[in-house]
Amino acid sequence: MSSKFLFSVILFFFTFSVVGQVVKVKGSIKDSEGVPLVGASVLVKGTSKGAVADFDGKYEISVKKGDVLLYTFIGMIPKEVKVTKSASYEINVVLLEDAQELGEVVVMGYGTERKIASVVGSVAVVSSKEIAKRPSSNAFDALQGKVAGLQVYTSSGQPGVTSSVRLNGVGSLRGSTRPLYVIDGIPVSESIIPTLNPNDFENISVLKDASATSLYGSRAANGVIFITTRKGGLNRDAEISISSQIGFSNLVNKDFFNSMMNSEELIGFWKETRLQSQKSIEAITSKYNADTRWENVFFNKDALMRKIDASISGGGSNITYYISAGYSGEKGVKAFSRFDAYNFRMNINGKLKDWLRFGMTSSMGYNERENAVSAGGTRNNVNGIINFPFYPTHDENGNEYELIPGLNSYHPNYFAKKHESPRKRVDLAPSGFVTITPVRGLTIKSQVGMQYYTSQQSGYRLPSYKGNLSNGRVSESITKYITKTMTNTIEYKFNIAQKNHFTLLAGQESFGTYYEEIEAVSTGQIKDEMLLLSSGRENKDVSQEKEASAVESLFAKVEYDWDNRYLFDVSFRRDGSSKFGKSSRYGNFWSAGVMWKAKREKFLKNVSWLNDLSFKFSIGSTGNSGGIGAYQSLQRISTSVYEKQSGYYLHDVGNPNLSWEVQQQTNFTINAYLFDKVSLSAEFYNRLTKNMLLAVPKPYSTGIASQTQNVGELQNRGINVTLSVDALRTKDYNLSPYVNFGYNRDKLLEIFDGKEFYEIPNTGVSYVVGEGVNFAYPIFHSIDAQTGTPRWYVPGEKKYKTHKDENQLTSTFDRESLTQNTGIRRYAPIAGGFGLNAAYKGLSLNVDFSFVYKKYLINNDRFFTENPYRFGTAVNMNKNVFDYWKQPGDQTRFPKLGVNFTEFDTRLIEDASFIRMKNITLGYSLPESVLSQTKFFNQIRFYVTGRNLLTFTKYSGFDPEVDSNLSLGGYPNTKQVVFGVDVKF
Amino acid sequence: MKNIVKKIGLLALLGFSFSACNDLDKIPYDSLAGSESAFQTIEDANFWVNGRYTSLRGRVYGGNMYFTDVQSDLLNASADFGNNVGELHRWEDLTSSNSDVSSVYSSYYGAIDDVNFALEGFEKIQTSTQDEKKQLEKLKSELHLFRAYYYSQLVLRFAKAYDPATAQTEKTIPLVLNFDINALPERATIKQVYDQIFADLAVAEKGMAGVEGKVGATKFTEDAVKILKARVSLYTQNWQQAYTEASTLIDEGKYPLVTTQQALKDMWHNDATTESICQLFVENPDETPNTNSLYLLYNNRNRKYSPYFVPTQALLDKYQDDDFRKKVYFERKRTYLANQDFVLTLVNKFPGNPSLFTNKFTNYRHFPKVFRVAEAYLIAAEAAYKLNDDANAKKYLNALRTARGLGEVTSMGEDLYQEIKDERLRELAFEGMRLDDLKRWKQDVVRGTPQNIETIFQTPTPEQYHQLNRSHSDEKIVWQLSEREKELNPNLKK
Repeated sequence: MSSKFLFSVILFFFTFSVVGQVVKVKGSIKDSEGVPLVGASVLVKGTSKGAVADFDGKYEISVKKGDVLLYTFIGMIPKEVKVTKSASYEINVVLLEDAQELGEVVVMGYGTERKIASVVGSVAVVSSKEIAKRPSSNAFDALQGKVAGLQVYTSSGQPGVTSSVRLNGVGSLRGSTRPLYVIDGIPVSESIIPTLNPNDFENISVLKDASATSLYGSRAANGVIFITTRKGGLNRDAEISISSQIGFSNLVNKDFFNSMMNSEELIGFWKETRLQSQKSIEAITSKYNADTRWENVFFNKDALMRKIDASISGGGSNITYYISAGYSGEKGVKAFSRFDAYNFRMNINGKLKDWLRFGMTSSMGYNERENAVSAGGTRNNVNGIINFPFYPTHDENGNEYELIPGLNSYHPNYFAKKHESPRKRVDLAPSGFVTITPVRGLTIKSQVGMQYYTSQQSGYRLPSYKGNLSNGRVSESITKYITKTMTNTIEYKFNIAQKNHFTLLAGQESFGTYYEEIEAVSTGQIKDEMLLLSSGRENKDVSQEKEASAVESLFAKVEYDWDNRYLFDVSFRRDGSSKFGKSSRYGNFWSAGVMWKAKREKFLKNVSWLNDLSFKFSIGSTGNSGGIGAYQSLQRISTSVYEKQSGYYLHDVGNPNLSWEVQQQTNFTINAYLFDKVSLSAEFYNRLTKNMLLAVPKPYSTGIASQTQNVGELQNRGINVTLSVDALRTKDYNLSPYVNFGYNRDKLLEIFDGKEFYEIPNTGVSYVVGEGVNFAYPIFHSIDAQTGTPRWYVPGEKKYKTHKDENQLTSTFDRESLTQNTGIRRYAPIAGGFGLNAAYKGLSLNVDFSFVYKKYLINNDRFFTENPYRFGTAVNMNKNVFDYWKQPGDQTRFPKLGVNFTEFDTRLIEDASFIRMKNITLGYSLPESVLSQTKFFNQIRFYVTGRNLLTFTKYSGFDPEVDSNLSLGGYPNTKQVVFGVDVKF
Repeated sequence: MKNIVKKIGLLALLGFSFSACNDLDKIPYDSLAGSESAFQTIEDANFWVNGRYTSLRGRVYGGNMYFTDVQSDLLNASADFGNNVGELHRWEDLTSSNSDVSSVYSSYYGAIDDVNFALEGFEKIQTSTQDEKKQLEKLKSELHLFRAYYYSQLVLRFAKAYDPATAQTEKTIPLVLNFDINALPERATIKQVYDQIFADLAVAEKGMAGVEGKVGATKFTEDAVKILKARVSLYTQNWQQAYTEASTLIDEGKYPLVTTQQALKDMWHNDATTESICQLFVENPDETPNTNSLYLLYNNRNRKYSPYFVPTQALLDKYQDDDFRKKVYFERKRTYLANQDFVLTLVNKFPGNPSLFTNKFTNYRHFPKVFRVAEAYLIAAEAAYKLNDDANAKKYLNALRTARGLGEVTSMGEDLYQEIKDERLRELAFEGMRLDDLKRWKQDVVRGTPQNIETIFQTPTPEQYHQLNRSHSDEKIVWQLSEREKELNPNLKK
């Protein structure tokens, strides 16, 4: 029935109606997409007479001609309709969404989008602008210094690495401390991050408190990092965007290398200290007289990096699409290391019927990685930079040696050329969902997603390698990893009496992972061209590993607010994990949160300088099952082989009572927006981790080294502050500086077996009850200026109490008896960032600094380079070993001759606090006037970006950003300068 | 309304067809979950015992063998030894937390606890025939022999030399005879440990009777019981028993000594099974042994050797030129140390069996010799001497000497004793016994003259290296239980 016909029928009835009569009005109330608005109310204006729309959005009401009907529904603009007829007739109403209610939205998994301003939980959102187009394949590197409380460290300069990420302190001693990573609702493993294209990200949300994370229950103890990828828009023309960049990587810092001696200095040092006999020195100097700077041999300069990607997005009347493809190629500063990644994405969303929608995101990646070769003797890895400088790398004719004379080690370039270790990996991460909205406010959603990768790590020792001529070695290791997530949710949003808004959510989730690895080896390949496993004649070996685990969950959440002023939410989740004991595998997690939007109170409404003010409080619990193997609750018997027969052995004693590590978290947050310029947020938290999954050490006499148990309690308390100011904001200019920092204090309340102190053997790190995770080392006092002997503090009776008594010193070094709690924290308490965004017409400048304060790191490399009596005849020394004691009164760094210069003591624990310029980008966009003349381009932007260009630190090793207890060799961090261009049309 | 039912029905079809619930009872792929199915039949018992040989192979040779030799007087650290086994070699900074010491301790206890676990599980195994029952008894006794072997090793490292006067009071390692991961045992006395070893040996003797020994047996036999019993008897000064066990073993004549240099070389370099009472099975790539590579460390790039440790000149001087062992155990090699070329005599007792090479160069792999008959000769000689039976002492000593290309000795008394000791040094060098011998003979550890001072490490002080001179009663000659162990088991502090 056409509306015209309907209209004429209504007109017909109208003509014959009688004035003043009771009129029966019926009709439907729907939204713009034709979805019935169940529970929408219709009211006769000025009376209390009304009706409510039923399940199909239908209503019926008796009125008089001339009455005005008021149609209302939560989140919709109310509509008034005057009854103009005196006979019964039909009024069908379409309510439109209240545009004012739209704002920055966030998807927090499960359920539909939320306006960020009305999320009770603590969430920080980083837009893609801040992370895309950085010169690193590791998107999370750009998060460093961006979110208060989020500590991000990139410990290595290897292309394609991931960062270590922690939120609000270290929540677990042994279990995972990494947040849960979720992409478009599907949990993924960390290793997928470098394979994604950050340009595809819409934003990254960091969910911090129990209210925000507890729906993720079992896996959200360390927060959730939720990545939302881009989508197209309905009824939009296709927009094509292409961006390209090229740049160079270099070592971030060469101070450590520059402090090594040259040949003359080293020979001089030997002579001066008689470390080598005159005869030995002559034997060396007669043969070798080069002065090689090994860092220039082991590290390349200006390693090339390139990136290009393109995307198309748009949409028709019921389908939106976003399609992208990208390539990024990074060469490492170490010989032959590289990372080449190709990625593709297709995000399609569609509306099949008014009530039926679907969406599909699929990402595919292929990457090839070559790690720095480290095989073939320690001197081929980074420790090579401590080779003696007098060995030459080139012969008289300037040709590079393959075998470096004297060193008897292959040149790293030759070695790397003959030892290939490519890793090829395919990543697939598809997900899809269907939602049904039978009535307005009710959403039923079914989502399924998976992450799949398969990687092949090859290892080739070429038959032409002179170290093992005509005897190649080939290894192939194929890894398969699959996770499957299936989620079904039902959500219902409704309101009661206008101002009472409810959202109810319930759901079920199944999560399973499967891992498999097959490795095969053979040797004896005779030619470089024939490198199949089957080309090898000997040492054929094959091994295999498999592991599977699963989590089953049920969850529910209730959200309620009154007038968008007082907001509450309560959630509950029950998880069962296959990793835990049969009787202890289920855990119940919950949260409750409240938010008060104070600005919406009458008494603040007219305070003009205060644009917004809200308070949030939440409390709740989450679980952790990460960081342990899949079968640690089980006693396991495995087989070995002797004389070609199988033999049993006890593989693991297991722990049938193994259960969830539980975290209780309380947060209090204040958000304010002042003077229309200043945005300020402060968050206080208290995290208490209980039943920690810890490998509790056992006496070796029991036959096992440790058993995983739920023990101990760990507390993290802290504050996160974020401040940003729109200092200038005009048509042409804008300048907005920001600063954020997080302070965290960890305190160990209990470990295991009633112990007060436990030193993790040979790590220099200990658990100190009442304090935290501290370095435990002998505490160095000084070099006695009178005698030239080193002195250490004698620990007190209790090693966990730092004991520094000037009257109790010793010059006899015994690492074991002198080790005590140094009071120095392993984990940095303060980290944050600051920077600014500035623009003048088409020019823009972004600068981002990150900083970490009171971070400490054992510089283990110095044990080798400042220890002439242990290593001075084997490796090069640092120049500062000249500063040793010679006569009474000398104030020196090192003791007298005849005594070991360096021991494993507090001298090696260095302050690795740093301030680093993580990003500086200067860009220029062509003005509209120019673009419009082309009638083609929407945007053309040129930029230059630098990463890690400036670092301020006292740390004397390779790089302070290393996130570990100690730094020894490794792949030092890098800095980049890249040039890029973005085009949209 | 009908419409809605349809819609929800459709979704239910879609959604719940996806959500086939996971089974949360995941079981591992590489192992049995729980021990029930591993203790059912006699076959299972065989698998348990067979598995003990795999773990034995991982506990002979390698550090378990050479750590004490590095600590003893036989070797000098080379200029390029890179602090390998440095603390044990220097003594000075050797503490109870030394990781080498700790690794030996944990490796033996790990093996003992597998034995205990298996012994307890064997109680659950059902036998259906008399034959099976007998078989199970034999397998059980074999496990006891393993335990006796491991405790005999532990008590040598972690206790003073056995002295009948103090053995009842001197505390050493804890005795663990049951599998219990929560047990916090106290230290046992030296006597208690040896008593346990003899008790286990008695069970083995009974159960293994009839498991006839043969040259190169790859598993324990009744002769393995004999040689271990002889050895432990010697260490506990039970001279008569040591003599009886050793001489019986020799006199049965199953393990004739080789008599030529070539045969001796074949025995060590190519793992000929001659003289071996037990020599473990090895096969690439699945069944590989520990190695003693640190004496050679061939660098194929310059085709020279850069060992971590070189034998002292004083040791080399103990070998006469016509001693077959001088040519077999040692070899002059082109050596590259301290950035220079030298020619040095290196330990060549474990050069790597060419049949086990995985490429053109040695990987130092051998078929580990667990018990050798030569030791029986030395035990018999020493025990006879202690029993004042010089004639038999000389008989067995000279039999060995003759086989090694040396003339007979005629000396008596103290001189004879010295000859026996020197012979033991020469024959068993680098088999991990030297430090224990010095300890029980109450001889100080004095590192002799090095071959070439230019090639050895000596900073910061030569007293920690080639001039080391430590008393046989120095407390560091007895390895200490680690701080970790005492911290986790406070009963060990008693």
